[in-house]
Amino acid sequence: MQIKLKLFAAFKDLIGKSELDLNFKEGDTLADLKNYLSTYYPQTEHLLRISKFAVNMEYQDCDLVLNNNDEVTIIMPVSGGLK
Amino acid sequence: MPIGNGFYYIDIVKMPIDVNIAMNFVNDAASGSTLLFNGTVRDNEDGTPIKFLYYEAYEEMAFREIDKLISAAFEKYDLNKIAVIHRTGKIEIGGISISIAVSSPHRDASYMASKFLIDNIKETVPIWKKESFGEYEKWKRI
Repeated sequence: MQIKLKLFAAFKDLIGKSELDLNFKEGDTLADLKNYLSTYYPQTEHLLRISKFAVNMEYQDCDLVLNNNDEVTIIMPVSGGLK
Repeated sequence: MPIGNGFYYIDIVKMPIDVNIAMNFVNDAASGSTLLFNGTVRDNEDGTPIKFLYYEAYEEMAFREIDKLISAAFEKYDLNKIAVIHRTGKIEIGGISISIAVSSPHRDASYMASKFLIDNIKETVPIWKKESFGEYEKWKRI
């Protein structure tokens, strides 16, 4: 199945693209996608450890099973700042 | 393009924020309080001079997440109207990156809702900030 991974901010800078089209097999989860990124884009590993994922614009846990044509985004910590 | 209804207004803009849009939106005859918060670009980060900031948004999701926080604020506090405008792109020192305007029958709700909104926007809304120190740049919080 096809997954569209949208990249923003530091992930876009580190991977050098704003979007990736990826193939996964039925039953694969966000954790599998995370492992794929760690393997093929090791420069993102430190950021993956502190980031969350959104699927079709909703935050999701890593055990979520992916579906064909899902749009996935890695949400690294947002702008933050002290109160 | 802004989204909302008669009670709330959300926009993500690339040009300087017109705070009057937010203030005028929340102006309401039933309100005894209207409160405007502006987040502005500071000239240093822990003492290191900053040249400018750059904000990048996953816009579609950012609108949705701000929408959720506004719904939560209306549930939590006695409010009349809310406007949130966030700017993206390069913002110079002193520029406004976000404006939050809130109106309510009494002032306590305005103060609490404004704080609730900015604190949560900075935790869950996918808008990232890059600090430019001149010789190098760094995404905030990584």
